[in-house]
Amino acid sequence: MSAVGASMHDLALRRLARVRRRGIRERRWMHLSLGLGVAMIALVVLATVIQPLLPLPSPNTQNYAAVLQPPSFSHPFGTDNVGRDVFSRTLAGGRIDLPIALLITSMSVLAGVCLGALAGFIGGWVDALIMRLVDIAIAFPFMILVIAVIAIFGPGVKGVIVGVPLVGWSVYARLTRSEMLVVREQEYMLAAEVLGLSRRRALFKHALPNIWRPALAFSMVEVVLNIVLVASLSYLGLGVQPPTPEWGGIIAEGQQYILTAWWISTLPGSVIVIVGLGFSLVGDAAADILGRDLTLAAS
Amino acid sequence: MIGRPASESSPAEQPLLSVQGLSIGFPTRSEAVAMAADEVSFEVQAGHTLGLVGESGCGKSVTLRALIGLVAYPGQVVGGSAKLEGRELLGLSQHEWERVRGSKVAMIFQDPMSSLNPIYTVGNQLCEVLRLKRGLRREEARSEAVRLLDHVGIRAAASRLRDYPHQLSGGMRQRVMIAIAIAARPRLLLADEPTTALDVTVQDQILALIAELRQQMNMGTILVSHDLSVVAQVCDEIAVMYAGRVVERGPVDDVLENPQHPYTEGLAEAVAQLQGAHANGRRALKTLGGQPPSLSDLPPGCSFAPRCRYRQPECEQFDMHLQRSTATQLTACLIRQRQPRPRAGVGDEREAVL
Repeated sequence: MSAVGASMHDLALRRLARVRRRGIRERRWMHLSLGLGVAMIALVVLATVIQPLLPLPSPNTQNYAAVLQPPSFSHPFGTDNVGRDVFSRTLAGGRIDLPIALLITSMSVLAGVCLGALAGFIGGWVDALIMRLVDIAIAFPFMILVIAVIAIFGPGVKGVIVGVPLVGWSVYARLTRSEMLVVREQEYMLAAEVLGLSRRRALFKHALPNIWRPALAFSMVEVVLNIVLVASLSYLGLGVQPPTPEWGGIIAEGQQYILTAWWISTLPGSVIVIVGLGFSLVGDAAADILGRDLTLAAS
Repeated sequence: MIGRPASESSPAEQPLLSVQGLSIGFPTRSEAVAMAADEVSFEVQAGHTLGLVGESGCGKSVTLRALIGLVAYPGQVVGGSAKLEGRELLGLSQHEWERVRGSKVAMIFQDPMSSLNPIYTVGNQLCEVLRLKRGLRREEARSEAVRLLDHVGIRAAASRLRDYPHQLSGGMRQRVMIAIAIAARPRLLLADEPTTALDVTVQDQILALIAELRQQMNMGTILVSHDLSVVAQVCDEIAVMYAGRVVERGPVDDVLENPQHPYTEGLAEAVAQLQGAHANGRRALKTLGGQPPSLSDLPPGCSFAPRCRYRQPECEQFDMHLQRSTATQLTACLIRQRQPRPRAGVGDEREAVL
């Protein structure tokens, strides 16, 4: 009898230890992915920032003595058809792509969270109006709308900066509104009102800080999409114009040599992959830390 | 067990809160308006507690909400008056309400688990009220917060200021809620089933705390509850509500010992008795049969008549006005207004209630 009891006790203890180990493993994995992601982003950002200081040819210097050179020690990413250093161009391109992607993402988040929170908090016709705008933004083919805005502003950075947030805010608005609908009914919101706090204070101090997390975690994923989007628009000739070095532009120019000089398109492309992976890892960890499963929210 | 102040008060004194004919309507799908509160009248003296009792959905909470200007949409106050220290509350603008709430009227809720904001520390939430409502500066607010937490019986108050709500037990959170509610020294404290979510020992402590603060601060208190033993413990007066109406009002001892309205009688009988159960052998708990009527489809006349064991045909014409049926009790019952219920054997009913 006591032997059975003891073995059951042992079993339970072992099970507890296993659960604990798993918890530690998961936490360690989360910290690892966060650290790895931050490191990858930091590496690329640092490289783009210090590019002018590196012993490299300037991004737009043409060198007809060294066209279509494969990667080597003096040209880590090789050279293109007019002898420009692809590594130097890639790093310089990052100084355009990364800030634009961050800017348009944060504009989308800011606008979306504010409008979504207002819609959920005020309700009524304000809610109806904002949510119909969301429907329009989501229903309208994204690329077409962005291209239309660029057609109005003319090709270049400005069109991208205006066009992308014009659509991008809608996801965050939906996300935040649904969070607000939950928070609005919480008793602490009623308590804030009962204590005689103003509605503005209730909204900004008591509701907003409870609902921006999912939007923030999702925006980490969206930075990646926006980097690719900026590059795609340039690739299509709608974004940043050549000869300004920009990731999409570099890849587009390189694609005609893809069979003979694979490095012109592929190596800048892999830098995009590194940044993208970095933001994805950070986004993943952020979703874990902020305690929300984003699979539902993102769909 | 819990100190109750003597309820002697000079009748000439102006009551702290005087509610007259308060009516709250909710629109229904048909043309009719459901009256969640219908001609509700009562008074609360400073330093006294009124117990508001009745079954779920009888209009207790909505009446309370009206007194702090937060009747849930789409409900509307459609008539009556509520004067706090002589000042009319009903019909205040949103801006005026913001100044009354917290500093004149405060409210505590049933569920202390969700009435504190989870992302701010206890100190942050307490200081917010102190700074906004009492105009204290940061440092003053902090020391006042410590004093308040200490006052509501939280030990090591200074270190508790840095705690988040999830670090506190249910009873502690309710203490914090009470500290926040009294932070701006309100004259009237509304308590909407403040102990329902707590276990029985904590319940006693919280009730004792509310009673103590009420005495110290000379606040009027309205306690909504469907637990008659809670009401018997801490209230001075009681108002029994049924289907949006006050059906009986009076000093708590008189009403519970000698209930006049058949509904009150039913409620008092339905209180579970632990004591004496063995002596009498097993006895089934007396219950009140039936359910309250739908507010949008009230029976004609007395709305309690369909469940009433004393029902008479003329009850269907009765307009449910309150009228004195004993020296201290007002009753909205035709039968009792004609002939008051005689006092039962002394001690008998009291035991049943407590």
